[in-house]
This record gives sequence, C-alpha cells and structure tokens, in this order.
Amino acid sequence: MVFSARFRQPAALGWLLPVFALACGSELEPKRPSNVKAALAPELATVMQVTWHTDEPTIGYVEYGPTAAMEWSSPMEDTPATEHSVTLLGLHADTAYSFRVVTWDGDDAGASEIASFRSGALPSGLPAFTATGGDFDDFVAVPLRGDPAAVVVLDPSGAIVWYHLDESGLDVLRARISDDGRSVLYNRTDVSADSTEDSAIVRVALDGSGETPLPVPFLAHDFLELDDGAFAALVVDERDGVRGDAIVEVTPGGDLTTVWSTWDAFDPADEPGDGENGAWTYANSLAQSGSDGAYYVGLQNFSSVLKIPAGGGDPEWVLGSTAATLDFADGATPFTRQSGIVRFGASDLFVLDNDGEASRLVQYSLDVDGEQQAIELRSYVATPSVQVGDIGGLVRLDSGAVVISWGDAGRIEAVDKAFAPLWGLRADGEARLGYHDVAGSLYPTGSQVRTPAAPETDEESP
Amino acid sequence: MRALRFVSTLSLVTATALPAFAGGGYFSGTKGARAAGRGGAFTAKADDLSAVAFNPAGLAHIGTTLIQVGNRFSYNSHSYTRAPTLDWGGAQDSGGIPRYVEFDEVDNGEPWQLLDPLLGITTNFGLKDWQFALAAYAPAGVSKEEYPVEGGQRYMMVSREAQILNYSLSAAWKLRELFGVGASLQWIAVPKLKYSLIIDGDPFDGAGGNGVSSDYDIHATTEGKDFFTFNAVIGGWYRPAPFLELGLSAQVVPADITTSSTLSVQPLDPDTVRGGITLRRGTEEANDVDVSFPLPMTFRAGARYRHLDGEKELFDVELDLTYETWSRVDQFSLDSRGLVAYVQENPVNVGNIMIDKQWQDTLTVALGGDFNVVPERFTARAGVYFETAVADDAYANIDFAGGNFTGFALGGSAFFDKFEIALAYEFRGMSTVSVSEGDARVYVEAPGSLCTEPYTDPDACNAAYLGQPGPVVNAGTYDAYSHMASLDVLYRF
Repeated sequence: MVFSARFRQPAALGWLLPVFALACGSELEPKRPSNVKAALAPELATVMQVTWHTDEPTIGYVEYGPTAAMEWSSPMEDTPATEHSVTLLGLHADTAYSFRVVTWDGDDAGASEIASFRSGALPSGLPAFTATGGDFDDFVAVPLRGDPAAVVVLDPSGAIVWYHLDESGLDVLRARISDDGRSVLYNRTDVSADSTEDSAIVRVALDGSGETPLPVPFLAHDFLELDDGAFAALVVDERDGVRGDAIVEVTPGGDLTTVWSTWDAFDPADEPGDGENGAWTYANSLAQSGSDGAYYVGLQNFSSVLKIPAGGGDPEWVLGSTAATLDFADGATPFTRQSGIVRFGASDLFVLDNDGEASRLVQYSLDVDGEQQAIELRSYVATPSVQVGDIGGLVRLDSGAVVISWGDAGRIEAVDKAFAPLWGLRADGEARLGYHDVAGSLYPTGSQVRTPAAPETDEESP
Repeated sequence: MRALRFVSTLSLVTATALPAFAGGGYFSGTKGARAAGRGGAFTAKADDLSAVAFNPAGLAHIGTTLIQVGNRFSYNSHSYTRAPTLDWGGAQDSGGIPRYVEFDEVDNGEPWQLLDPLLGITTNFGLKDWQFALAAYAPAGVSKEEYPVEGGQRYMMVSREAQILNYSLSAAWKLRELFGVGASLQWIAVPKLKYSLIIDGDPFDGAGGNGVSSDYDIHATTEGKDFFTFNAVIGGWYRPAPFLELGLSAQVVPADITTSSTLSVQPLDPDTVRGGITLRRGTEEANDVDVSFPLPMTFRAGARYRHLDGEKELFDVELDLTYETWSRVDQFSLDSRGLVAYVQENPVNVGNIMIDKQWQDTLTVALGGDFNVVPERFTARAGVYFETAVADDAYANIDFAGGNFTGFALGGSAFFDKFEIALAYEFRGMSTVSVSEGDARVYVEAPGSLCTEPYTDPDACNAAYLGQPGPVVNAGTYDAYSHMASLDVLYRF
C-alpha cells in the first residue's frame, strides 16, 4: 500500500499539508485505452481503421466527427476483448476529423484523449454532387456508369464517403448494400447486344478488405440478394439470335438455377415487343415484395410488369402494353418503356415510366382479385424534367418516401409519400447513374450510427 | 437570578449545524475554542463548558461559576467530480450507442458558516466537590451544503440544511483531586432539516432509471422538524498521580432523530411533465412524510500528562481515542406512509426512499496540549488528529464527507482578570476519496421503476445494469476541507 498525502487546498496552506496530512488517498484513474492508432483502410481514402488496446477485456466504440463535438460514432463492439479494431465509415475525403475511443468493461467507462486524423483524397475522375433540400438522413449507394465505372456511396450532403472502381472494363448497373450491412454488392456486366459470359455479382467489403466476384454469365440489369445469402438475377436468355431474359438464382457457391424465362411465357412471334436488333423482351428491373417469394419483372420492350410466382411458371398477372391481364382504370396513364419498379404492400406498384420526353414516377394501386385493374394514385415529374433511358431506379423507404435515381440525368431525388420533393443530388459533368440502394447507416444491421448532422468541413469538391 | 436570566437567554438561541462536539459523520471538527485549539484532545482535561459533551465529569475541575459564550466560524469546501459514464439509459435516443458523458466538478455553494454558537453556565451552587451546568450549543458540523441542480451530483443530493440545537443539563462530582464522575442529559431540538435530490420519476422507464438525465427528472425536497430527541453523556476521570490524569466518557443512548416533514416534488422540466405532479394518500392530496436518521453512540478515552511546577501546571499533553458507532447509520430513510405521486395521471408509489449509507464505526486519535507561556496571562495550545473514514468508498456521497480526515489546530487564551478570551484555528482535510463505477453502490432513486430485486429481468431492467437496481451515481472523486476559527469568552466568578 502506498501512503500518500493529497488534499486540494489553497496554495497558501500547501506547506502545512505534508506535516499534517498523512492518509491513504488516490486519484480516480480513468480506464483509458492505450496504443490508439488510426490508419486509412487499404485503397480507400474515406475509411479509417482505428485500433487500440485495453488491459482488461472491454467493449467499445469510436466517437468521431469533423468538429470537436464528434457527433458520429461507430457501433459498440459485441464481444469483450483487449485488442480492438473498428472501421470508421461515412467520412468525407480530405477532411480533418477528431476522434476518441470509448470503452466499457461492464462497470466503468473509459475514453482515450481526443486525437485527430485526416482522410485521403478521392481518385480522379469521380464526379462531385451538389445537394438541394435537407430533409434526408440516409446514405445512397449508386453505380457510376462510364469511365471510370464505379460504385459510390453518397451521404446526404452529396459527399462521396465510399467508392470502389471497377477496372474490368464492363459496365456497372446496380448497387446494393448487402443485407448484413458489411458490403456493397454490384453487377459487373454488359447489356449491349454483346452480352458477356464474364459478368459477375461483386461483393466489396465496406471496410476495404477486398472484393469477391461471383460469376454469373450474361447478367442483365438487375439482381436481388435473397434471404439465404443467394442471389436472384436477370440474365440474357438468347435463343436463335433473339435475346429474351431469364431469372436465375445463384447460390453463394456459384451454382445457378434458372427459375423462369420469358421464353416460357411468351412467343416472339406473338409478342414481338418494340425492341430492335434482336433485343426481344429486355428485362431491366427485378423486385420482390413480402414473403411469398414471387418476383416482379419489368420488361422494357413489352412496356409491361409481370408477377412471376416463386419457383417460376406462368405470370400471375401482367400490367402494361403487352400480354396484359390487368387493365388500367379510367384516368390512369399507362407506362411505357419503364425502368425501375417497386412493389409494396398488398396493392401498391411504383413504376418509373419513360413515356415521352419526361420520365415520371407513378404510383398505381392494383386490384388483381376484383376489378383486375390498376388505378393511378399519383405521379411525379422532376423539375426540370429528365428522360432516364434504360435505367432509373426506385427505392421506397419505411417512411413512405421514395428515392429516385434519374439514371442518365445524373440526379438522385427523394420525394415524400405524397410525392412532394424532399431532397436531391445532382452530379456535375455527364455522370450517368445506375440502380441505387438506400441505407440509414453504413454499419452492420443491428447497429446504428448516431444520426449525423451534415458535417461542416473544409473539403473541396474534387 | 443570573441563572434564570441565562436560561431565558438559552431559549432564544438558534443555531445551525449537526449533532456532537467532535468527530466525523454528521460532525466536523471540535466545538469550543479551548478544546478545538488542542485538536479535540480534551476528554481528560475537560475543564470548561465543552465538558458537557466531552466528559461531564470534567466540570468538577471548574470549582467556580463560569459563563462561557462562543461561536465558531468556518469555511467548508466540499467538491466532487463525477466519474465519466456511458449513458445507457439514453442510448435509444442516440442510435443505440451510449454517449460518453463527462461531468464538471461541483462545489459546495454555501461554504461559509458564520453562526455555530456555544452558550452556557456552570456553577457549584456553593456545594463543595459538585458542579452543575446548563448549556446550549449547535453541535460542530457543516450546516448547509448546496450544489447545482444540474450538476453531476444531483442524483445523490442537491442541497441539505440542518438547524440543530442541543440543550444540556449536567452534574459532576469529585472525590478530592483523585477522581470524578458526571453526566449530561441532552435534549436535541431540530427546528429545520431539509434535504433535496433529483429522482428519476419516469413512470414509463422500466429500466432502473437513468443516471445521466431523464425527461422526468424530479427535484424532490423534504423539509421538517423534530423538537425532542433525548440523549445522554456520562463520564469520569481519575488522577492516579499528580502528573497523570485519565478520562473516560460515553454517549450511550442509541437515539434516532425522526422529523415530521413534508415532501415536495417538482419536475425539472415542467414542459415534459405537463400538469405537474400531485401527491395523494388514498383520494386526498397529502405530502406529509417521516424522515429519520440515526445518531451514533460515542466512547472517549483520554490520558493526560501534566507537567507541574509545584501545584501549577506548566503544560500538558493529552492523547485521546474516540470511537463512534456510525455503523448504526445504514441509511437515511423517508417513509411516505403510502403516498402516491400522480405523473400525468400515472400513479407512482413513492414508497420508502432509502438513501443507502452503510457507514462504519470510526476511530479518532487526537494529540494535543496547553502550554502556559506566561502563567495566568497567556496560554498557547495546539493539537493534531486523525479520523478514520465513516463511509466505505463504495458509499461515498456528497451529502457528508466520508473519508479519512486529518486535522491540526492552533490556539491560545489570554486572561484579563476574570475574563478569558480563547481563540482557535482548526484545519480539517479529507484524504481524496475516489470510487469507480464498478465499486460504487449508490444508485439513482427511481421510484417508478419496474426493475425490482434481484434486478435480473431483462424486460424490466437495463441490460447494462443487470443485477443492480440501476445506474450508480456516486462514482467519482471527492475532496473536502474546512477552515474553522473559534472564539470563546469565559467569565469566571
């Protein structure tokens, strides 16, 4: 035992204390983590790895932010340990951040001293985005089509907070945040007349630890991640020089099963569609809704949307201009050469309609059991209007808001459930976007980052 | 007649402090300038009115009529810095991540205590070898402490104030200069006892309360009085040789002070608890409660060396041991006798609010003495003491400084014919007390919590605090010290 004398006294009395103040005393020592280090993740200028050591097993997290308030935090670790590593996501490029490690040993809290790091610079060639409106807190993962082909994650301010350049020479059309929240998924493909066997669904870890391609020959525009870790994807099903489409399911090990083909349901002689140069059905959008396992497929050259039962078979219904089993109710405007689709709830169908010069978001209510018709509920045209081309994506949020990727126009926009504009991003230059995904957090499912305010940074647009 | 006038004067005395003459726990330092100047080493000497509490038998040394009037002025610093914590109770508002919360140091906002009186008379009524005394005094203590209502200590205490007055009637008898015995009967009056803290009154918080902040933080204040508690002190001294004197005394009545009080509860954020909070017993509005806190028993022993020149005492040195049974103080308790608080029409049983103390017995060692610098003109005195901690660190609390205390004192008396002017300065400092969250055992008071013993129901208790009533609120670092100056005027005739 160390005997010490310690009182906090006016200085004038300090000389007396050693004489009279013999007692046991100790200052409460915070359980500070030690050996705290921050380093950029491999090949990612906007992801930091923070490591630290604690003498006793603890769990912890990292507070960080561009100001001393450090408004963001990583998720709390799940398992007590003495050696720790945490990935910081959502960082702006070339920006100074403050951070500290916070620990918890089950009883006592500890924290490191506040330190700082600076994120790196973005690769050249990535566009900058300008945000309008502010009522939006989520992150958007979206492909950048063209050169360089890439997938980026944008924060509400329009900053690129994560990126991956695809150097395969193929196109990137669809991006998704994986269900486990740890990766970005995208399709590497070619949907021109020269579809490729080298296409793949690629998984890229958000922490920068690498990419894992899953070969899926002849991938078309869209794919889904299924509950069991498998994927469902649209692929080109070309027969006798006529390019139809199929839905395939791909196991994590790469085994492919064809679930359904347009050749099973239609005959090009009877339903030729409006494609050219051998492009028959041109499936460009794939969706699921609910737990019945059914697929919803958009066939752009048919201007139709189909519901395919789980396991395949004849469509349960078709809405559109070709082979329709449902009618458009009086007053409803049919869609033409649609791109993104979203099925929600018992009746709602959201379609990105590409009729005419202006693409529009339209919401229908389907009555498939009674009147067998689609009632148009509302629609939305961007200001200024845009024509998205092949790819324009839709994501419906739990709040009822819909996030739209106006693909070829290089714009992303969120509207509320009444289709009133909330927020938007506009890419500079000629950037073309693919199908996007939206996530409330970049951290794994089950953990959430504190809702970040748009940081005030000294970042300059690249 | 003089005695009667003195009695009437006593009835006018009001005072502020907490009970006894020296020691820890509720008490702080030594009462009486002559005793204080010796660092409290006064059990064997006990030759002024302070003897009514130190050792009533010592009154027999006086042998004349003595009127003593005095006051103690003190500056009482008490500070606390709560240990950083994670706000598990508020994690749902921050994305599931508990914020790391640091707290500023808080200090006693009422450090000055200007009124701490002692007033009394002792006489032998002409009876040889007898001595009688009547005294009134505010026991040595820190009467008032106040801290920020938003401070890190607020779930322990926001403020307290005690006005306590002891009336003592004493008698002593001696057999020549060989030995003496004495006793004091004490009437303890408490005109005011006030204590306030913040409780988490969230009727919807089933997780054991929030130790950082709650929308339903409620400022609970109890204020009351108790005009009669009985106590007694007995004592004796023995002089086996002219140069050696031994003293023993004890306060032997296991008394509790129970005040008839009122309880008020005010939400910190009136906008959150719209309509306020109503207290009812049955269907009637009510706010009467009982607050009780135990008093310790005290045992003193002293040995005094007298350095004599003939029959005159040139100087003395006394060593005292004081043992106080603070282990009687398990908790401060508030018995609401069935009060129910209605928060937005949701009933919350107030129940019995127990502020856990779990104090322990203490031992004080004091060494002091007088030196007659100029016989019958000027006496100097000094003393030192060490006092063991009354509270285990786990139960450290801002309401009473509970750690080990060390003190020293310097003093002196000047004599002018029948008058003696006694002055003393005493410093008393607590060794820094630090307690971690893992060791701390004082929890937020959350009367409406559904998390009940054994506090392991994951549906009712916060997962971060399973096995305990809720978040601890007393972890941190405590410091306390006092500067005390006593001035007594003694008139002998």
